[in-house]
Amino acid sequence: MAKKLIALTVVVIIAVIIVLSYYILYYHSKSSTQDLGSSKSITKTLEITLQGAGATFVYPQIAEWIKLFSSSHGIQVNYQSVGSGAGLSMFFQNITDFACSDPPLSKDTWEKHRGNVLQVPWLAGAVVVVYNIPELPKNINLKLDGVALAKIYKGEIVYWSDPYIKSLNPDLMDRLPDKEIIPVYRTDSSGTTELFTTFLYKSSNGIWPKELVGKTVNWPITGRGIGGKGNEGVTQATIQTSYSIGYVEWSYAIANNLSIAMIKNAEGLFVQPSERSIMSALENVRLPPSPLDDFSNIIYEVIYASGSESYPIAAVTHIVLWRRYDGLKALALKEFLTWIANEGYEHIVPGYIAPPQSFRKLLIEAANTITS
Amino acid sequence: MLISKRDKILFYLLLPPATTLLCFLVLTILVISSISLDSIQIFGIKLFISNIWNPEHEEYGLIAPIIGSISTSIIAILTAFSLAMPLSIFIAEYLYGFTKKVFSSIIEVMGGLPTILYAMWASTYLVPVLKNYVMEILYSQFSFIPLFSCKPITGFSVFAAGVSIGISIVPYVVAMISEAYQSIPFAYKEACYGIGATRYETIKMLVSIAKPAILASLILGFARSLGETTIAVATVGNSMYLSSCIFAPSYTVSALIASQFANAYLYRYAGSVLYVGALVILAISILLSFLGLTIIIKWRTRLVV
Amino acid sequence: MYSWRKVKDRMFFVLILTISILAITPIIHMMVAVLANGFPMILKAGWGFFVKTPPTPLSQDIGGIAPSLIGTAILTLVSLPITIVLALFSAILVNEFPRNPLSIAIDVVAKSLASIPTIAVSMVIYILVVVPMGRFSALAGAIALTIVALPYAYTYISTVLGSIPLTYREAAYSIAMSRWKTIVKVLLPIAKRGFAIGILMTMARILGETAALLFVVGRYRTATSISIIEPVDAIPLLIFDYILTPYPIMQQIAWASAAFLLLIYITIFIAIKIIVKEVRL
Repeated sequence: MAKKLIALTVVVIIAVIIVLSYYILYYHSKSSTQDLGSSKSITKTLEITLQGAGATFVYPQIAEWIKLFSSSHGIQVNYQSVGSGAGLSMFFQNITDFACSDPPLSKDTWEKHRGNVLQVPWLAGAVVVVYNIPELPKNINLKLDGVALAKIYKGEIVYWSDPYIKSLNPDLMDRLPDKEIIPVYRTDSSGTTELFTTFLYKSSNGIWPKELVGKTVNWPITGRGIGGKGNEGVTQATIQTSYSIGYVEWSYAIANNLSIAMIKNAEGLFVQPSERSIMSALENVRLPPSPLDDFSNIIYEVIYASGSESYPIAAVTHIVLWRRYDGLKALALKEFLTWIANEGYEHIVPGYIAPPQSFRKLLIEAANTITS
Repeated sequence: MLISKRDKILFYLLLPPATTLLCFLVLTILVISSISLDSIQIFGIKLFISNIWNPEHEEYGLIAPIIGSISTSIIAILTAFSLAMPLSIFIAEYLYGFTKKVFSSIIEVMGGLPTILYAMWASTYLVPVLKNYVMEILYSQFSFIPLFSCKPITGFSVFAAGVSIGISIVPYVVAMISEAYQSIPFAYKEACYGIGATRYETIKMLVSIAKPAILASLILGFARSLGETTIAVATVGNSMYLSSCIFAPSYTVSALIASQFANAYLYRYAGSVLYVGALVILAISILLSFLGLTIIIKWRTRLVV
Repeated sequence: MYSWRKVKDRMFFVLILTISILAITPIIHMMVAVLANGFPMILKAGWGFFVKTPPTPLSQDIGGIAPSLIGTAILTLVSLPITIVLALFSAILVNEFPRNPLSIAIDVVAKSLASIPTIAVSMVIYILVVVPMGRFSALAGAIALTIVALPYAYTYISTVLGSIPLTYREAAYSIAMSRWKTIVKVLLPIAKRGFAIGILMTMARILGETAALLFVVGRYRTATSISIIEPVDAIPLLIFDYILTPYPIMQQIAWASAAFLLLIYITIFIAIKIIVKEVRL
C-alpha cells in the first residue's frame, strides 16, 4: 500500500513539474519577443512564424541572421537545413514559405512558375576542397586543378602520390604519401554538389561529362568513397577519415579548421578562397534586372570565371519566394528581406561574403515586389 | 454467437474504435501500394535488378538497398541469436531470486530504449571498435573469402550496421525466447532430472523442444530489423554500392528513404520509387511476422501435454 | 572421479556465462556512455536546458532544448490517449467476440503490422496530412505516432485481457451479469495494473520514435510553439539532426538530450517495476 502511494506521489510531482515548466516556457517565449522593443515597426505585434528550408550551405549564416532578427522583431523564422533539393521540394508543395537553394531554379522549373516566383542571389560564398593528409604540414596548401579533381572523383587517380598530383605540387613531392585517396561526396540532393560538378565539367577539358552534373549524381567512385549527408556530413567524414578529400562550403571548412586546397583558376593561377578572390569572380557576372527573371545561367558564369584573382568555385546562393502571400506573411517576409539588406549584411559569418551592391538592390526589389 | 440484444449493442458500440484501428493500418498499406504502382508500371522489372540512383535523369534501380536491407538483417539476426540464446538460457536456468530480477529488468529496459540512442552509441563507439579489432583482422587474414575481400575504410558498412542492429534487438529476442522457454511444461524438466541428466543435458533437451519457437523468434527479429531506420542511417555508409563484401558501405531501404525522400518531389518518379522500396520491405516484414506468429501458435498447441 | 558429462556441464556453464556477459556488456556500455557524455552537458547547460532554445553552429552558449521538450510533450499528450482508447476498445472487441471475421481481421492486421518500418508511416502521413494541410504540424506527427504505436498497444492490452483466467468470466456470467458489466466491473479492474504498464510502455515507445517524425513535424526549434497545427520539434529528432553535424556545441546538446531521454526512460521503467510488484492474480 505504501509503495503504491509512493508511486502515485512521484507521478503527481512529475506532472506538476511538467505543467509548471510549460507555463514558464510559454511566458518566457512570449516575453522574449516583447521586451526588446528597439524596433518601432508594426511587426512588433506580428506574432507570426515564417517557415523556410533548403541548402545546408547557408545554414550557419542564416541561423545567425534568424537569431538577431527574431530578437529585435516579433517574427520567428524557422529554417530546416535539409539540402537544396528538399527545400525546393517543400517550397513547391506549399509547405514552406521560402526556400534557399545554392543553384537557382533550372530554366524549365522557372518557366513553369514564371511570374509567380522570385529568386534573389542574396549571399556569396565558396565551395572549397578540403583534405585530410596527416603527413602534410598545416601551413602549406595542396594545389589541385579541375583535371586532378575530376580524375580523383572518377577513380582514375587513386593514390595521393600520383605523378599528376606531384606535378602540381613540386614542393611537396616527397611528402605526398603513397596512400589511397578516399573521396567524400554528398548523398542528398545538394546545391553544393551542383556547384562542384559544374566546376569539374567546366575545368576538366572533357574528362568530367555533362551527365555527371547536378544536385544528385551517380558518382563513379561509389564504393570506394564515403557519402555524407549535408555539408555537415561531408565535414564530419573528412575530419574523421585520414587521406580523404571532400568538397564543402567555405564556412564549414573554417569553423572546423580543415586544410583547404588551392585551386587553379581559368587564368592558370592557383588561388585560395578569400573575400578578394570571390568578389573578383562575382564582378563579371551579368545579373538579370528583376527577381522575377530567369537566373539559370548565373552559376555557369560565376564558376570558373575569368580574372586572374578569381577563385574558380565561387558561389552565390539564392532565396526562392512566391510573389504573392497572404497579408500577414507578405508583411513579415518584406520585413525580413529588408532587414537583411540593411542590417543583416553587417553581420556576416566567416566563410560568407556580403554580395556586391547590385545584388543587394535585387534583394530590396524582391521585398518590394512581394504582395498579398 | 450473440446471445442477447444487449450484447449486440455492446458489439456495435465497440465497432467504431476497432474499425478505426483497422482503417488506419489498412490505409497505410493501401497508400503505399497505390503510389508505388506508378513507377512499377513505368520502370517495370528494371527497378529491382539494377543498381542506380540518378533522379536527375530519372534512372532508378533498387537492388542495392534491398539486398542491403536483407543482408544487414541476416547479420543482425545472427548476432542477436548468438548473444540472446545464451543470455536467455542463463537467465532461465542459472539465476535465481534477486539477481534474476535485476538481469531481467535491465534487459527489459534495454528493450524499450529509443533506437536513436543505439544509433548514437554505435556510430561513436561500436563502429571504430569493429573496424579496428574485427574487420581489419578478418580482412588481413581471410580476404580470400569474398565476404571479407574489401578493405574497410571507415568502418561504416553492412557488417557494422548488421551488428549494431543485432545488438539493439537482443532484448526483443531474449524476451521471446525466454517466454517460449518458460512456457515449456515443467514436466519435461522434471523428467530429465528424474533420469539423472546434468543441467547441460536438460537444457539441450528443452532447447530442442523449443526449437520451433526459437525459429519463430528469429523470424520475427528479422522482420523487425528490416524496418530499422535510425541505426541503419548512422552505420551503413549511405552509398549505392552493391558488392559481396560485407565490409563495404551500402544502403538499406530505410536509410535510402531517410536520405532521399525529402527532395523526391523535385523529380518525377523519385518519390514513387521510394514507395516501391518501402512496399517491398513492408511486404517481406508482414509475411515474416505472420509466419513467425503462426509457428509460435502451432507450437504452443502442440506443447500442451 | 571425473565423468566426461560433468566436465561438459561445467564447460557449458562457463561458455554461457561468458557469452551472456558479452551480450550484456555493449548495452550497459551504451547506457554508461550516454550518461557519461550527456550528463556533464546537462549540468553545463544548467536550468537553461529546460528553457532555452538549441544552439546554432556558431553559438557560444550551449542553450537548451525547450522547443523539443514541449514538442515531445504535445505529441505524446495527443497521440497517447487516442492510441490507448483505440487499442483498448479493439482489444475488448476481439477478446469478447473472437469468432467474428472483423475480430480475426483486426487481430491479424495489428499483429502483423507490429514490425512496420516506421519510416514508411512517415512517408504516408506526409502525403496524406502534411501536403494537403500545407504545413508541417504537431497533428501530423501525432497521427504518425498513433499509427506506429497502435499495433504495439493493441498486442499488449490484448495479451493482458487474454491472460485473465476464464474462471473470473465464468463466475460473473453464472450470476447473470451482462457482458458489458462483466467487462467493466470484473475484468478491467483485474487488468488495471497490466493496463497501467501497457500505457507506460506505449508512452515510452512514442517518446523515443524518430523515423516516424522525420518528414512530418517540421523541426521547429528556434522558438517554442504550443499550437497543434504549427510545426513542432521532438527530442529524438533533434538528437538525430544534431549528432550528424561537425559542430561540437551542437553535438554536446545532442548528447545532453540523449542522456535526458535515457533518464526519462529509466524513470518510466522504475514506475513500471513499482506497479508490477503488486501483481497478484
